[in-house]
Amino acid sequence: MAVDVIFGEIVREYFETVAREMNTTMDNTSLSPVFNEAHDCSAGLFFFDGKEVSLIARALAEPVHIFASVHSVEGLIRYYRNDLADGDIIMVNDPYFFGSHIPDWTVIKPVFYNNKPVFFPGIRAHMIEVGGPVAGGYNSDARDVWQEGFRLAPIKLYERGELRRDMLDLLKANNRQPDVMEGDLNAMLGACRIAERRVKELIDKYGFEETFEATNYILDYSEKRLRNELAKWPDGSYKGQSILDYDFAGTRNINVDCTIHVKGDEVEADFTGTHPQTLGYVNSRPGNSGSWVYSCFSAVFDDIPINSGFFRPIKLNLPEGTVVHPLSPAPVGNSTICIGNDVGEATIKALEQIVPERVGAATLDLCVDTYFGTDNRFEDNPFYVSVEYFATPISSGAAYGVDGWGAWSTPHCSLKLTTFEMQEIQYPVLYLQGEYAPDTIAPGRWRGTPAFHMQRQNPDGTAVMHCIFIQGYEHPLQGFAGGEHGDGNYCIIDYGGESERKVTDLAFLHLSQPGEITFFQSGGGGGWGPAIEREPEAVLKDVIEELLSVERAREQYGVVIDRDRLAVDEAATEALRVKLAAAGPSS
Amino acid sequence: MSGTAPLDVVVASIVRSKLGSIVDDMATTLANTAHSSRISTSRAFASAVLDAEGQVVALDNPLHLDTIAGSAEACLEYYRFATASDDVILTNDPYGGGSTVQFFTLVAPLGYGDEIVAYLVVQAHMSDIGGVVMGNYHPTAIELWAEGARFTPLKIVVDGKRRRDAFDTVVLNGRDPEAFLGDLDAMLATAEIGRSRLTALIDEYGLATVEGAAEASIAYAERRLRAELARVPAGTYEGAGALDHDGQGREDLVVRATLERTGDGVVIDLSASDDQSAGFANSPVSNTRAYALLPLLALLGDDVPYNEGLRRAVEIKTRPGSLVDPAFPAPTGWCRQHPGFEIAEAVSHALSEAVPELAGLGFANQSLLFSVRKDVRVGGVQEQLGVTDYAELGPPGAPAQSEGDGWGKPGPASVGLLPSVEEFESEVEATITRLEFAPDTAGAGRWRGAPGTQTEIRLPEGSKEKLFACLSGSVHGHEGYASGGAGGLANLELSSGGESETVPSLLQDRDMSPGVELSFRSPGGGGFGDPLARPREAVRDDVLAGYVSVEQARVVYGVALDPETLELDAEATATLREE
Repeated sequence: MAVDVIFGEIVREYFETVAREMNTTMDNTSLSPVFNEAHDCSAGLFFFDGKEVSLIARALAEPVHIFASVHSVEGLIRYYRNDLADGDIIMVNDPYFFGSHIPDWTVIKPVFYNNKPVFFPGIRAHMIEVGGPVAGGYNSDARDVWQEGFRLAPIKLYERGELRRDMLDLLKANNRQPDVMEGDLNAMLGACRIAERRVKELIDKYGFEETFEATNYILDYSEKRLRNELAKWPDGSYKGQSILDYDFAGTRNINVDCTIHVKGDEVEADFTGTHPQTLGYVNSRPGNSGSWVYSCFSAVFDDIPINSGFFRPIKLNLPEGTVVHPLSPAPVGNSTICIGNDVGEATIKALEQIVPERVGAATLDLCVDTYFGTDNRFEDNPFYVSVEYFATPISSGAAYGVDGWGAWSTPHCSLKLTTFEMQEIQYPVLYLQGEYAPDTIAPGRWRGTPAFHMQRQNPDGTAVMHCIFIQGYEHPLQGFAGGEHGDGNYCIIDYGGESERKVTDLAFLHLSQPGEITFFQSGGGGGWGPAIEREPEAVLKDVIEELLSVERAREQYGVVIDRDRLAVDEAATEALRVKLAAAGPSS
Repeated sequence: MSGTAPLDVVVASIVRSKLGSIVDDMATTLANTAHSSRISTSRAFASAVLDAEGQVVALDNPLHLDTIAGSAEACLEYYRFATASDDVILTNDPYGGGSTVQFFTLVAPLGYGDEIVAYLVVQAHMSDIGGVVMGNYHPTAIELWAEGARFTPLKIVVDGKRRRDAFDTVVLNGRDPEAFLGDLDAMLATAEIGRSRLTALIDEYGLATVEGAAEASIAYAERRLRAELARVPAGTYEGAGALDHDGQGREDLVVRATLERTGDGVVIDLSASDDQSAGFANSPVSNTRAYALLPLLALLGDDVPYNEGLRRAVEIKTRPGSLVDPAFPAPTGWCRQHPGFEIAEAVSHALSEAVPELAGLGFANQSLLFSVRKDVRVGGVQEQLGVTDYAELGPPGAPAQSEGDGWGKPGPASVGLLPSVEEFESEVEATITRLEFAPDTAGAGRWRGAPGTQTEIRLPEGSKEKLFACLSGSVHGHEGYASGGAGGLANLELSSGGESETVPSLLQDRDMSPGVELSFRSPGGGGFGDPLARPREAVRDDVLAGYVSVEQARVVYGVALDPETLELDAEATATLREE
């Protein structure tokens, strides 16, 4: 604790810059648009003091990845405890070996100082192809983890600086796109190497003891800041719940219950009462479940640096045998979003009762289409597999003081939209629509984001295989503090065609024809606060922007708008609002 | 070769026998120590000694000749300049010299002095290696990855030390880690036994002598096979074999062989075979070579070692993209039965066209008939807990040959022991209510084939078994040779609650919980030569044994028997046979 605060902050900022540089390296060198466009990866810097593994800095990237990888890095270090050497690079993916789901690979490179591994830069990334029965790794027919892809126990990819060629070739042998995988893996390795160089430069400059103490300062500081905040919360238990529509295997309405117990300067997120693990592939391993809890807390306390010190006052109780802590060999492939999302939503709904003005949509509902086929724009008709990111992202809702702003919800907003243009270059598809849909907004004092409508057309001359998974149609993203819920997700296959069909849960291995159009609605997050408290001028603005009809303005917001003049009729509005308020929130 | 002194023929012959007994020793070790019955009882494995160049010198099971050679070649090529004694390399890659993902190969170099002088190789059928269906027979797979994890050459032991992470990754991809580890340990021990026996042999005779004897053994096998092939008159001969279906709805998949005599060897060309299957009836090229050689091996006596020499005497051609040389990543799971059988059948027919008395291949239609036990053990996971093979209870009948009736299981497949009914029932919840030769299923002929088997199995109510069946030989049976009759066809019936149905060709994941009776008839072997030429006493014996009915004796063999006393009616027989 003898560290000078200014020095401690310099080191902290340095580490965070290192983590950011790792992510930038990943952006600049990876092959898949999943990384270089959508940023579905995360970088972090981990520390091992001989007893405990801590995350000390992370890039502003997908938080679920990096928080879950604390678990993976702990596991990796425990596995190789007596068997690490300078120059080793180690990795793992297996859900039952500290991972989340098979496509999420964690790579770390121990940085040695005085012959001891102390710092561990790590990258966690969602690989687009991982072998197994279904391209892209989303197999809703899976009933055990072996049906989800190639399972990787911890392995050394590099040993004392030397590539273990057989391990790399093994990974490539279990991949439909070995070259893309290798390119992305190399980007991950490069990011770790950059971080190693930077960490060594820091230690060279300030000395190991000083760096070590600054690291402890960083962790202790975040811990102290969070404890100070938590101490202000009234002791008690606060419940939140989220319900998943479907496990893709016959079970509907799967509840995740979170009770936040506040006691002094600590909290426990207790998931007692949560649905037992299910047959389908939505079961979420503890590392993934915990990461969604942490990401909600990080959204609530946006000015505290996030690291393992921040996690210390947050205890987890994830009962074994439930969807938030399934036992082997339950399938887990889709859990990083659904159940993960429901863990987050249950947590944030519990937090709503403590700090309503700090909460809002912190999660997302799944609406994903992994599609694959052959690309007949090229002579050799190469195989491709793509994950449709446009279908999912409009999950942000309102927060206190601000309307839903589109794109991903707060903790996940480092995920970017891929661009239509890049998608059309990379894959043989054509986008016909991408816009907000009128009258789909979740009402609220601050309103949610309108639903996003998108149409994508298949190329001529070649059919496309889809794995479409939808959640949130029955149970859309919730509103807060009296705000309404979002509009929900769905998809329409063969849109405008002869066999047009609305999909609200699952279209697995659906073959669509050349030229066929697929339509998606991404429903948007919920509103914040009662709609009748919304500023009439703000309602008018939505009407002028054609997001809201005059009828809905009246019904939902109690705002009467003169259609011809496009102006608020203030007297009529006031009268209507008094009436609506008297009738209660159900009207 | 380091030895230049002329090798004593007697010594060479002794060492050749000793090399043979080393692989037999290895085989015994594996059968006695393996965990799973696929290895211990069905003996679905092979063990081999390879020389420093990776050529097979001695092998216990010729069904694996080319997959052993091919897998070892892939491993040694991959680790060229990076192999040390006391390493062990593992692979199961069908596209790296193997056959199906179930078959794992271990390659263990033997160091002697400062150099690697030989390799010990073990190839065995493992319990499960992930994929969609436990046991890795997945009739509707369209890519290899759905069948299971694919291991390209991977060192699992380096300098005598287990590479823990590689080991853990291999084991993690199987559903039954205990059985998998048990079998893998047994394979490693088997390679060790081979190493110590071979080291002792070299200690006793000297490296140069053993190497010389190995080379001589290869040359000997080659010479012996070429001598037999010399009976094939110059010319080109054709044969074909048809598979009923491939599990994906495609029917009548044909393997076509031409056999051409060249010099003192032969060329077998399989290029005219049909295009590859969308499903798992594809035979990677190493597997194809092993099955194409089978009919030729039937020419040889017991004293000829199975080794590289046999490969040298025969050139085998295939066309990439065909059933017998599929392009990656086509699934290959059924290839050790089909089109393995069709390959052997096609070559056998071509051979018998050249030299009729050489007919009689060593293989037969082998349906898949197994169940996977699925149960909820922990927290709602529908686990696949075990696989039971019913087809091995009632094996197909062997074909007749030019000098004898078909008897029992076909040739090379007969290394496996039949499971005992009692043992089977004690391990599985099924009851076997019938297991006997089925009358009139043996292909008729001067020499008749072996009959098929009728097996009836009852699964109790509440059974957790899910049945899978992929039938072969229910349309295209085992054809006869030289006017011999075809063997009987395969047939599967299920009955439950008084209703019964005939399974057409494919059944997947059928729930057995209502309590079901399976009635499976395996196909019979084809006959050889004209049935009318079969001695009447032999026909009567077959009737007495229950292989042939009185009716069939009369209609097919022209032998009249009194239906009551089963005495021969010589007069009527003479009349019948004249007609």
